Amino acid sequence: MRHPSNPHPISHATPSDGSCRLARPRVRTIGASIPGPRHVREGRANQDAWASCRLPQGVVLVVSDGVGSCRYAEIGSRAACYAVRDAVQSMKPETPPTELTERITAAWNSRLERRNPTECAATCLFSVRTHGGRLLVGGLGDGLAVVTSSDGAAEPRVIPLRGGEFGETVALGDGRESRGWVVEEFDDRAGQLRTLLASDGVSQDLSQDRLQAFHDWLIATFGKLSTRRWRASLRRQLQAWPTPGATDDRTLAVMWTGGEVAT
Amino acid sequence: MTTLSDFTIATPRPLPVIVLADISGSMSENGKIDSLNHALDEMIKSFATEAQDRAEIQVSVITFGKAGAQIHSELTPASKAAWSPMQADGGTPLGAAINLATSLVEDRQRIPGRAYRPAIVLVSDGQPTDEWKEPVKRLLASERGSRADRFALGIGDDADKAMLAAFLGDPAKAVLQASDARQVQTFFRWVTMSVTSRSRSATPNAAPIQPPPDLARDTF
Repeated sequence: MRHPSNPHPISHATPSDGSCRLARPRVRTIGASIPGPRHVREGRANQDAWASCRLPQGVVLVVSDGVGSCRYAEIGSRAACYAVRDAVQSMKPETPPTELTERITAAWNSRLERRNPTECAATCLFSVRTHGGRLLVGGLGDGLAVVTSSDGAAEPRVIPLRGGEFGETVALGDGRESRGWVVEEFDDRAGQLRTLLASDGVSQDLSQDRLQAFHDWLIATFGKLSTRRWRASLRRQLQAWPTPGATDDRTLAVMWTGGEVAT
Repeated sequence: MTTLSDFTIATPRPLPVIVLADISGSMSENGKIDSLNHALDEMIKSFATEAQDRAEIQVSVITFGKAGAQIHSELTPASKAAWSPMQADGGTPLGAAINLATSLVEDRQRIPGRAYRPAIVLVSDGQPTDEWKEPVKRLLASERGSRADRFALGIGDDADKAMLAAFLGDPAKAVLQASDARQVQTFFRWVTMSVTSRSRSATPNAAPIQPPPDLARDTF
């Protein structure tokens, strides 16, 4: 687990969840996942998954990529989405990131219904924003987890996931969970931070120097659409992926705050 | 109008091939350097004709000889590479060449994280004239070097088979031995086939390399 003090301009300071507010930012999420051309051709299921949900503790966003060589990869990736939700449901305002990731790992194992975890291996990237403005972003495995600010004043913070290269990654179920998680904590009481999560089918082909602009574009273009329309539009964008030779499943998901919710 | 292509990389993921070529003085005997030049030229031309819609094969050649270890040709897409023949002279500073290869493989600017697993090919006809064990150990211990596909060819009877086997770092992999120009070409055809079969694969990182040829029988 990684707990940097403050290595970059986006603040990591932990807020007090007990602070008094009359209104809190409205947290929004969008996302999409499509099977890559290879899985479509082979008639196989999408091994990526994404999910978002609102809980009494806050808002949860998850992206998971089932490890391609595993028999039940698609079950593993869906279980990862549920596991993050399960873990956050039992989270207290002060729960440290290490405890949260331990709970995710335990919840994922219990979601497999007696299947061998090594046959269900999946990465797990998440963003959890508590109602108190505590933002936890990170994950286990490859892909992209990045935090940007809505005013663009701070450099995007790319969470240094221990993903591995050349097709190798750490993942839930591979026995290396305890040393693979990387989670960073941010103070977002101001409601200015946004999260972008992407599986490696997307992140491998993104221009790293345009992450802020990409994040801005996603929110500006799809955030204003109705749920039905952003779902369809995002899926179309992923299906028309412009990089030649890209065959992986593709998933991306975004969390941001827009407007206020009276409390 | 802004589209997704404004934020994505327009080229396929690279598949790097790094050749470590011995150009010591002994390589000038019996037409060895000529056959190596010819085989490398043929390999690069084969790569250049491959469809680049799934992976972009890139080639770099590192030489080791009189001028020490040098980048003979920078890592370049094979479709844009122009082969310039090598001249043989001097000693065999293999350790320095291995260090250069390790630096290249670990350089995330030249080989980005999106690249497919690289292939490293070592060809030598003699005994190294510098310290090579530590450089080889460092390559095999490096995060990326350890994952690279490695190929080794000894040319002639004086090739250091123990050194070539150490470079492969896997007792299950055989050091191939060539005694004439035809066998050098057969070796490089095998390397070419192994790389192109990966570049055509839907999963280039997972695709295995082709079984090695029997150079004595030229059965590849």
